[in-house]
Amino acid sequence: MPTIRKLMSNSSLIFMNLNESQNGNTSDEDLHWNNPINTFIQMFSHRSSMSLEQWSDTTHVNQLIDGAANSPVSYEHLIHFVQSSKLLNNLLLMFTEIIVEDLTKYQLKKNRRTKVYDVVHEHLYISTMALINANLTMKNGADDVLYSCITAWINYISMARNMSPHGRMNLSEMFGNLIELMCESREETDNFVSGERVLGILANVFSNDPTLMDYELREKIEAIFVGVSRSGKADTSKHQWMLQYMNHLVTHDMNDELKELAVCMVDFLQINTLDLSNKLFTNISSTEINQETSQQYVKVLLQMSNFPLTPILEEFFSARMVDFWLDLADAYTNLVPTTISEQGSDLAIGIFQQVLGIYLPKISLMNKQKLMEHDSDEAPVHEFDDFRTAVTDFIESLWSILGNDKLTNVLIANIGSSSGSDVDIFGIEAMSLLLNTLLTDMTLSESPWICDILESSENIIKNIVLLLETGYADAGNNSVEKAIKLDFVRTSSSLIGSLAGYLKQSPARLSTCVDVLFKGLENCTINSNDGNGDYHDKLEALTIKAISILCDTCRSELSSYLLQLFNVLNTILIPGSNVSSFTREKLVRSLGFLIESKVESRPEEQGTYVSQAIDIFNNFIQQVISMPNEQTQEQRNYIHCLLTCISELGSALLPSDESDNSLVLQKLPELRDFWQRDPLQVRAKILNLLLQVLNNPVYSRDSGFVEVSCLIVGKGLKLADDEPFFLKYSMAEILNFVLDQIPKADLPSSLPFYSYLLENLVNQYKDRLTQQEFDYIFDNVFLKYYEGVITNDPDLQQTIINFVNTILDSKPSFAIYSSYWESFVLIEFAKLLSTREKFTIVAITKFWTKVMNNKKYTEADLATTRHQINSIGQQLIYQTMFGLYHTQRSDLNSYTDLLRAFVAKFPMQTKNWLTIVLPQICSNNSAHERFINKLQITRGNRAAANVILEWWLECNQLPTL
Amino acid sequence: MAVPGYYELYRRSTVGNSLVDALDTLISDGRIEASLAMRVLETFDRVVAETLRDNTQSKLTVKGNLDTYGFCDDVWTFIVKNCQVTVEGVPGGNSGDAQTTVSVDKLRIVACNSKKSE
Repeated sequence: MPTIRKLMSNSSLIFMNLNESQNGNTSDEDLHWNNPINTFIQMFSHRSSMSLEQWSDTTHVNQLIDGAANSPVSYEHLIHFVQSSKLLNNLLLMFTEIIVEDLTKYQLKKNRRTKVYDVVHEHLYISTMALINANLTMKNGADDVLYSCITAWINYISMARNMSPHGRMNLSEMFGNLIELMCESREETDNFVSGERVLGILANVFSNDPTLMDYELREKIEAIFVGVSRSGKADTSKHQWMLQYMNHLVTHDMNDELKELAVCMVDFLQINTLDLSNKLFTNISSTEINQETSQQYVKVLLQMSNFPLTPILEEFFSARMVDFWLDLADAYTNLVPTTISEQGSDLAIGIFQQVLGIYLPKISLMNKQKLMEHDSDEAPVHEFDDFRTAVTDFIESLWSILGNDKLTNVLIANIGSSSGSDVDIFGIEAMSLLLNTLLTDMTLSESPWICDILESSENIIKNIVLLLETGYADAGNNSVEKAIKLDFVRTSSSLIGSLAGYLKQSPARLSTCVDVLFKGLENCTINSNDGNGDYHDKLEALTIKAISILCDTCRSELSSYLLQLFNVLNTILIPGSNVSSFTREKLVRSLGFLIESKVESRPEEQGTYVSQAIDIFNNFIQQVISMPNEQTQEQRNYIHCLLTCISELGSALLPSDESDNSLVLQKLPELRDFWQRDPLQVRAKILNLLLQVLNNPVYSRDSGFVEVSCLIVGKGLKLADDEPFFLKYSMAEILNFVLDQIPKADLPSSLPFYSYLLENLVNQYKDRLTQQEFDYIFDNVFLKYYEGVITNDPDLQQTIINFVNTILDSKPSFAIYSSYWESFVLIEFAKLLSTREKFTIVAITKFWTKVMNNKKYTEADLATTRHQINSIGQQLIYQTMFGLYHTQRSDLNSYTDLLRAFVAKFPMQTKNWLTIVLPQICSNNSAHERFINKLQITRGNRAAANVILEWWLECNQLPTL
Repeated sequence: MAVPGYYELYRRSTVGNSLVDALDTLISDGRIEASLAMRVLETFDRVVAETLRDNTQSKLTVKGNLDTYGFCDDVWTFIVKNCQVTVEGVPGGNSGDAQTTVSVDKLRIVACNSKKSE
């Protein structure tokens, strides 16, 4: 059989090659082959009339082929042939399948006017359809060869109809026969095998190219699938077949087949969503389909979504139907309001309220629990989680239809409707999940009506807190229970975070939530040694996230918790405590939020708390540093975490532009004065601590420590001068810190952090920094290490170029009047134009573009740089084009802006420079000439990029790809 | 089901660029023909489309100011300014807690019809 297949494949290649030439271009009219199927039939019809010797005689066979090649075969002949032998029939099906498979594979997309589509349409398609339809109606049991052939033809036509007008071929008769065959399939006759195969073919069509099937046939399918004919024309009695088939799948536990059926049906339903939406909700008149039938149709779809079985485990329709309802909701939302009928809006609300009612119990974690208990395989559990996510996406669309009145408020009311022993914890979880999705997109502090609803619900917070407590309760070693409880905590803690804007106005409820969260955090910490470390880590992360959000939103309302937070901090910062660095850092940030609001009495109050926090970090660091034994990785991580805590405290206390705390605004002058004086020496304490830690060579050479130190020292650099902030170091302090640390640092890993700090410093103090100071920085931070370290490391080259680029962006005169500009920057940076490293190329081309084209230049700056570029232009162009010629295709775009800047700023010179340098790079003068001419007249980035690509391809002799 | 080929847009991704560069090198060294490089890229288009469809579990949320949008040749283009891009659900993780938010000044979204990419 493989040999036969190969021979057929070779024949199909010949068929394609002979017909590939364009219409009317065939030089030899005799060389054409219309229909390999007919040839096959003709040749086989002669098999008995020729002897074995004649078959071996090439001349004789050639004559036979010549005669049979384009000889027509009547329909009767074809039918007689296929009925004569099952083998011949199958070979014929296989041959036509191979031809169209090859056509699909090669696609012939490079030549859309190819003749082959025409030939297939006029000849092969007609024979094949006769062949397929004969097979489908012969009632002798269709087999796999037939289905494969049908699939191949559907695939081919789906491709061909987009390629050529001759690619449009009608498949209605074939689809009609397939549907008949499907409905004749029975458990008793073929065990629904044909039905299943036909559904597989239909599923393929609906998911990829549903319009291959015409409207009448789709109506037939609709009647079979749903049992409702919206036009009243289709035969709904065939729905019985679908019910029998589904019953067969359910009773035999054929889950995969059920899933495929659900996918097929929902793909089919999605074809008509827009039409259904128009019919149901608008005034757009319809002669064929009335609204009542459409409503009946929707009723069936609602039933389909609501099988009383466990989703994913026992049924798949509800999960698949989410996509359909989402499409319908979006279709309704996108309707032009004036077209919506009088009762359209009420109808939509009614339908989608029912959908919500169906899906709430479906997404319950009780179903996830059943799934997990049924099977240890994780895939269905992930599928269930995806289902829940799909429903949360759907609820966002539902909000546009149901609004707060019928959705948000209803969920709030239902969550708070039960109390005591009546509480259905799984139901609360499902509703909380959906409510959280809605609240995430709202600003509760600006939505008083929602806050009123929340306030009026007596039990809502109680029940959410109950959900949280249930999640925190001991789950033992039961993995199912642990997973479910983790979901309880995830849902409830996220919802509490989303409710922060409301809780700010309800102090008693806020306290209840915070107390339970702290208790939960304590539990995680205490129990983290019981072998469930990973589980407790997740609980801890979810809890601290919620605490942090509440502390951020309700700063002044939670200020009474400040002392408690200090106590917790003292506990969790102890070196041996089982708390992650993430939790420690988040808690410090939360503490910072509360300290930020402590401005009621005097600024000293805030200062004292900051100082107290710094003392705590300092004490713990001193304890570890003073240990006599060698530094371990744990100690390194611990000290690093404590320094990060200082940075987090700084971030939490950073003054915000959007601060609405009127008390802080009133106290601004006092705070500013206080932090400028810094009577408690907080800044000095922190700087001393940093210097002490970095005094240890292990830490000063560790880029993690350098990073966090730079973050702390530079925390206040982006603030305006009059903003009060405890971490605002002076220019001299920062400069001294950097210049002191650089010689001790491991430059390859640390220089980027120091460079970034200096970029911010120059930006902030550009009006105070002198040219001499800038030169001093440049010399001591970069030039000193250029030859030995920076030139050998592309990352550091990028760092130094980016530093200069930042200066060119903020105050170009520092760079261009620097004593190192002409003696170092222009010379070295010109050499870097021919570099091969992607990131260096990006940085260096940006640099030269900025030198030529800079909006921050004064007239004097412009004149200076123009003069400089003029004098080294030819060398620059040489380096640029040399780099461009040798670069990779993916880096070509980096050079576009630079070449455009050359052409725009130095048009005549650039032409001359290019004419001189290009022949030195490679010898392809015609390409160079075209490149120069096109570049001169090209406008726009994309067009210039194409010109560059064209030149590069031509010179490197590479294809377009 | 076949329609005219797969989208070529992933060739401009980092991995696509690297592949094109590698193919260029192989062609320049005379180790492969240009036609083979094209076949490799066609396979790449298909595999990326299929892999993204079948093997990704992450969800990406974008919030920002819609600056420009357009629809041409079945391709939507959106330019979103000052946006927050949140990536949820790191592949392989089952907790779904992993969430990364990135602030982006300007984001260009090119959205094609996934059903036509095969």
